[in-house]
Amino acid sequence: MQLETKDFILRPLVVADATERYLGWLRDLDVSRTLFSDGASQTLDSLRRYIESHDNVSRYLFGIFTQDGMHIGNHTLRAIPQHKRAAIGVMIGDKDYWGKGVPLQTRARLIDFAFDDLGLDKLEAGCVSINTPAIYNFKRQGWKHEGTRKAHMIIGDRSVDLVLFGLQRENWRV
Amino acid sequence: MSDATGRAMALIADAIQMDVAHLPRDASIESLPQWDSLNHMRIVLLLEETLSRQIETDELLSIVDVDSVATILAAEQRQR
Repeated sequence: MQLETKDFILRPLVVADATERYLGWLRDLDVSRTLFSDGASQTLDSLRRYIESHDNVSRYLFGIFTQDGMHIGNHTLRAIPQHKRAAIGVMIGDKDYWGKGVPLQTRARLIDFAFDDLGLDKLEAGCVSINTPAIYNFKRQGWKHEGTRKAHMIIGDRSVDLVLFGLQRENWRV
Repeated sequence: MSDATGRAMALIADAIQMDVAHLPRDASIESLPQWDSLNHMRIVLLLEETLSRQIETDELLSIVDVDSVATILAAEQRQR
């Protein structure tokens, strides 16, 4: 399975994709501070187990690759088929690709996959309130703000909110 | 054009490094190509600098165009 966009290829990660480069992203506070996982405690072994925990039936872990095969980030998709809903996430690990609209392009393909191929009706996602580019991307892509969990996380010495977004099939590409 | 709108346009133009004379009055994240995620962050940072405080999450979520930035500036002006 492979999902293609103008500039990128999404494909499920395999164990061989657990590399020092990938691990380095999780250990980089610039990357990991807005993720919902403890990047610092990860190892190559835990990364492999994480990759293997995705069945690519209802739990997907797509790597985002450039056209020449360089891994630059990931998308997750966790479907709840009985509710025709999924939670999705993104990490752009390679900072050279920050600010270049990668999530807008690759998430659009993932959304098409979720609605058209998986037959889902709704997607949900969240980000911390200090992740301004992520909030921009959700707003730009037409996601609706569905709620804010106040003081949900401590990042550094700052209490931050968790901002929740939703996208329903009927609001996509209208 | 209100004072707040003028200030909002000047702030946005400064953040995205374009001549305010060329910034459309109805510029938004959807209509202005230069208003990308990084420039959005610059707009928020400049707004925080202007207000001398952190932007609240609700305010952050409201920022999509000139009017929304003007609304935040005008509210702050009223409170002073």
